[in-house]
Amino acid sequence: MSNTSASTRRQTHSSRLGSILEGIAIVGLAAAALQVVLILTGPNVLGIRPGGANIFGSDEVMGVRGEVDFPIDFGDRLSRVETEDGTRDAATGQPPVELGGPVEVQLSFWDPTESQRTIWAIDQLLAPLLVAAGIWLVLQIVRSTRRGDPFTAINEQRLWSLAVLVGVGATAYQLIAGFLHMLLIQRSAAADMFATTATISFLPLIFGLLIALLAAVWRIGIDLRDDVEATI
Amino acid sequence: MPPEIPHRIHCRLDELLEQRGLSLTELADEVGITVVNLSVLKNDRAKAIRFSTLTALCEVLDCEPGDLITLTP
Repeated sequence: MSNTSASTRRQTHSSRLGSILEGIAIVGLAAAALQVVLILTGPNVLGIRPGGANIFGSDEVMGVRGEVDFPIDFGDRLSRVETEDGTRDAATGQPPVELGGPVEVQLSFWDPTESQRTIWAIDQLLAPLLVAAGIWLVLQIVRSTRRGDPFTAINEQRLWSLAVLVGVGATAYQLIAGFLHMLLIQRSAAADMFATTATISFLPLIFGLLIALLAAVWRIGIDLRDDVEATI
Repeated sequence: MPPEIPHRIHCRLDELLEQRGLSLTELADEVGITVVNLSVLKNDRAKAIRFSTLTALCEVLDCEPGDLITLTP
């Protein structure tokens, strides 16, 4: 009796958690889709709607961020004074500090060409499309879990796809986005002012490997489930 | 997990049921397991059998485990 009620409680809890996860995934998917629509209809791609501030930022003027390749003068904002206690910050009296690079700035294109718009659109669309694909896979897994049978070969396949999407896709995205930014910057009037460097994070690769590990464990789960089902 | 090795266990449920004039449904009712599961066992598609199931089957069929399952060459 107590086992049955514990099992029912567990199922209810699992169902509630599944509903919450499904809700979050649907909201995420809708946000990614909205971002794609806003980019495509914005003034820098199709020009169907006027640009302006939206939940993802402002797209009134087309722009990319990059590191500048020259020293930034911060003026006398952090000027120092010599006191009896040694060098101190002039404004606060605290021990002195210094600002330094790398400094990232926004490069805005007031009248972008067709090719600049195309490169910018590809750059902007890559991330939401990648996120949407990942969320779609997660949503399918969550839905199958809610149906009560998560340990299936198709879910294992989805996990492998998610691992590749996160590990390889997100790493490739960083490389491609860096390359596209470089293309935009190097073809602009401010080309000489930017550093030709790109930063790659290994976090997606680590997350991808963790998901791949989960997929391998999932396979064991499927085998165990098959064994239990075939036990009379 | 290591690759699965095909087994050579044969379940003689058909012969025992015929000898005792029982149907699969009657046996399922008496043993308390589903006809589907008994069918899986009868057709050698089961991967394992619980001692409790084996005990119940042997009691109802009045036989030894060796009468129920045999190793095929």
